[in-house]
Amino acid sequence: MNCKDMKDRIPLMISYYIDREMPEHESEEFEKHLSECPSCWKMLEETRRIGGALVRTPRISGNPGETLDKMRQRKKWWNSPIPFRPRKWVYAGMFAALIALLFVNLIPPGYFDSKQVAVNQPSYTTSPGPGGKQSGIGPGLPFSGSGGNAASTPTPSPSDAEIRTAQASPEPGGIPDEDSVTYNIKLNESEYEVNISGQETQLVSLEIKEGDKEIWMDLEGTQPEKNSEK
Amino acid sequence: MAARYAYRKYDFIKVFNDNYDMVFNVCLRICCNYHTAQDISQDVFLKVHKNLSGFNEESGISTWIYRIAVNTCIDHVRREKKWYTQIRNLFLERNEPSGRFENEVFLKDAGMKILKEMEPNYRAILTLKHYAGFDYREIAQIMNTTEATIGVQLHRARKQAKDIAVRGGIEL
Ligand SMILES: [Zn+2]
Repeated sequence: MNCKDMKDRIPLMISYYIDREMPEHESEEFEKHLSECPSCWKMLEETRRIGGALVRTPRISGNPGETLDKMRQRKKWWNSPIPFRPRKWVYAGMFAALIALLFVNLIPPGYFDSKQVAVNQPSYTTSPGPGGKQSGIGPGLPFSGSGGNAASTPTPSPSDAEIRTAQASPEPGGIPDEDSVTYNIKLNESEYEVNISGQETQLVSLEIKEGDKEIWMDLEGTQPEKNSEK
Repeated sequence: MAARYAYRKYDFIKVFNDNYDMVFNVCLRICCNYHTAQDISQDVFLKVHKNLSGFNEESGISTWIYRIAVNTCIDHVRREKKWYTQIRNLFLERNEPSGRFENEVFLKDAGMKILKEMEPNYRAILTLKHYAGFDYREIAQIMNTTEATIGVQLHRARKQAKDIAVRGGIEL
């Protein structure tokens, strides 16, 4: 066997050989060649090391109890399986919940001490995308228990916040491929405006305004001391 | 009716307990994020639950669940809006610091650093081969393709993995 004549096939053969998927007679011949050919042996070792690294990826135990609990909490689903809601609905609901959490997180400690705070079911109004058909996302997707991933978002502690989606474009009811989403959020007396914009793969900006005052949060989750300037 | 539900619930819990660990770890390797893997595992078991009563494949239940897990993950990774996921995981990390820790430790692993740079399809094949330890026939069954295709794809995935390790200076 001369590996220089079949240079292109050698890596594939090594792959088959390592996985013990090579027919026995071929395997014996190849093994003999490997023991005599330093360059093929080196390639074999490299391929083995890749496999070894992947075998050694850590096994993590996850949280089966939590997953099962989240599934169970959705009583309706649990008792009679219902078809999945379209994913984009789920995302929109979850997204709104996250925005709510953002606010719960941003509010300084003690701010709500005198008042009980709870996030109600949001009502959605979606503007149709350019030329797109109106498909309102429907009233009151609850924060949890509505399907898909929504339940995985921890429900924020009690609050009176009212969340309205002012605008979601261009994909009605979904997380847009690009462009931006604006959420208007009412927390007790204050109105907030959250503007998130991104493109397919990149978050471009995240802006939060309380009235005219800008509160801003970067991706590391830190809050700058002073207001950001565009 | 009640008996049927009871039976199905019992059955489902057993299926869940028998397969959770495998599903979660496969999801981790294809999605490359702790929180995403948790969500996707839940999705996988929702699908399992939904279709369990009608399950009658010869291939066996774990092959079937592997297939649902792999497809759900690949689908997710392909459609994932990265900027949106970034925000989402930011919140989950803030609210579940333990998950953040797990995620950081996990992603420091050399094998994970490689997987993270790969196509979801390659992540899946390499995971099924090296983590789950399946042979070509089983992987082909799970991924609904031929053994020859799996052979070629595994070889390509390994080649790409080597390149990533060299480029990224990842010690193996
Ligand atoms: Zn050679």
